[in-house]
Amino acid sequence: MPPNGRHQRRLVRGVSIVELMIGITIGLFILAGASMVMTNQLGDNRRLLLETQMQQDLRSVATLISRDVRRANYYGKSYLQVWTSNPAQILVNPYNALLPTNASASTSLQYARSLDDENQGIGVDDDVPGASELVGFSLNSSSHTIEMQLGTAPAQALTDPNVLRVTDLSFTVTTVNLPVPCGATCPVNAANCALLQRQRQVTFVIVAEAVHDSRVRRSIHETVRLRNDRNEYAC
Amino acid sequence: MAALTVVMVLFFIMALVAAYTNRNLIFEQRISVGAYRAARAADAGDAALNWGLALLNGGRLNSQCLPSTNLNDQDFRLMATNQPAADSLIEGGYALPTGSLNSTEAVSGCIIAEGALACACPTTTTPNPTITAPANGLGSAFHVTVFLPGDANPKPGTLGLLGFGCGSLGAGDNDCSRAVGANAKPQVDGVGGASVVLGLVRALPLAPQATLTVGGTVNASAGSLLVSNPDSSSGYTVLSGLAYTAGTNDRFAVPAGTAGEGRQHDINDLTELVGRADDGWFRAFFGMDRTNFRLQPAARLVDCSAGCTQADVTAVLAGYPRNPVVLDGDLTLTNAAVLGSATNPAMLVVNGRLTIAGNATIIGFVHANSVAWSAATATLSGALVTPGDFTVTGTARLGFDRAAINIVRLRYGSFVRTTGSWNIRDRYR
Repeated sequence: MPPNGRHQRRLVRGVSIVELMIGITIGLFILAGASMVMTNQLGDNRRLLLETQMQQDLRSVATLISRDVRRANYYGKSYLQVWTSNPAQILVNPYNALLPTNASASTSLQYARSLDDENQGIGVDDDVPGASELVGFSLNSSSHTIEMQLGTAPAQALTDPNVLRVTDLSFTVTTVNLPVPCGATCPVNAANCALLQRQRQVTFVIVAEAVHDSRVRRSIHETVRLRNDRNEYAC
Repeated sequence: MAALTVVMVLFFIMALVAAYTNRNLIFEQRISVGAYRAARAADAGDAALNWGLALLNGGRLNSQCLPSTNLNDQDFRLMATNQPAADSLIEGGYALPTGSLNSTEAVSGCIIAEGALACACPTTTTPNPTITAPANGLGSAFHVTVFLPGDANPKPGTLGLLGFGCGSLGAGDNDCSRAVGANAKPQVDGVGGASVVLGLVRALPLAPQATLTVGGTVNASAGSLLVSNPDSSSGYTVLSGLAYTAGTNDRFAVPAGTAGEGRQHDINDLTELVGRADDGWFRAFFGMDRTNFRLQPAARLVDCSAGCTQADVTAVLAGYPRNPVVLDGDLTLTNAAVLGSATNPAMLVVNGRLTIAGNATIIGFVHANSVAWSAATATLSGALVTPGDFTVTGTARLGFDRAAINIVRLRYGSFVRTTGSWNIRDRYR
């Protein structure tokens, strides 16, 4: 017994070619939109990643510089200044080198700090700035990296040349002279005390661009007050 | 239905790709957090030094490091150090208390939570105290110890501070607010340390050579002046720049075996110091001018523009028994009062006239612009210095107290950082 028409219609399952094409077309439209969003997101993500890497590199090197600069001119025997019977002792700090000395901007910074008591009782010192106790930061204009120099050892790059191209580095040292209370004033100008305390701060600026996209440029600006002031004869 | 399925599958794949591409970003963000924690720890370590220095120049503290007037409490210098008598070790040298951590250290620390400090200071029985951490466990912490810089030989007037800070609190053996042992590595969010050497700028660098030093006149014509100086290293009873007018019953006692009264007057050097334009008198006795003396960290200023009495001085000395007290104005002692003690002699600098009208007992060092003494039984044990006149209408009893003057000379003043002494410390203790 042949099936009737009603039964025939019930056996037809799935979607028609028209329905499928409409579905695929709608899907493609949505996919195209989503792809566009995703492409933009990937581009943004890449740019954000570059910026983050740059920022990270800049921040790391700035932290490293500022942390070390803070202890510039450390001298283990600074206690010799206290209650000394020899006034000249107050002016003696064999590690008081700091370049530049004036407020003009420089592409490098050099100073000394003692490492003699690193693994000993605090206050041990040989009074001589050794090779590893001389520190320098500078811009290598050929590799476009910031380098750290420890004594006579080869300079070490602090920035990744595959990520970051440092285009500018400048250091500026500013000083403030603080009066020191005294019992005896200067022999000539009796209004002044014989000593002053020189407070210094280093301002550095790093400007860099991403190696893979020169449009990504960032700069970091930091001011560090040296914790170790310097005594000066004021008369 | 098919379209929806296909789209959902594609969305899922895209989400996976997005998460994959963001992994570097997440990594970088974690590095940033690490840098933030390290900076926070380093700043906490640096703050420990400033906090310790402030306490060293402060007054009496309780076990929470808060100001106290309880006579059983000590100031931070006495909490963290032993201060041998002047000649028993070395003049002005310090020693560290024993029986505490590493047998040498007394530890103080703080927790910083939501902008507030909760601190603990050492006591003899608890040299390394514990602080109750906030319930949510959030905050930074630091601790500070005092050390003697250099080799084993004490350096007079010198102390060191060693501070360590953490980006998080820690607990138990990782508690950052207390020392947990040399070279320990506490499980906290970053550790930063620093050290600094301090020098004591003495409030009275030179001991007076006389019990009573006067820049102007000494007039006892309407009273009696009884002055003794048993100290052979100084020996003088009264030194004055101008004339001395004797009283009816003046007496001067000098060290045994010494002839005379130990008294000199019309001393040109003193009148010259008084007349100098650069505050020469004050500089000669205090090692600095009057303005800077007032501004030093350890000085306690009292506004006496309307006049002060013994009650004002007593109130300040209760909280700051071993600090120089600067009174800006006149001081009048009208009632019986005891100012200073043998262990904590007072140091009073009166930027005005000192009137002793009541039967006060003063132990320590006093400097005043001028002095009027009308009391009948008041005494001063220590030394009295004035660039002006000293007038007696009662009975003035003054005795030189070498022990009290030595405590003032060697222990009082402000600790300041020595230049060149700050350094980073990575060895946790």
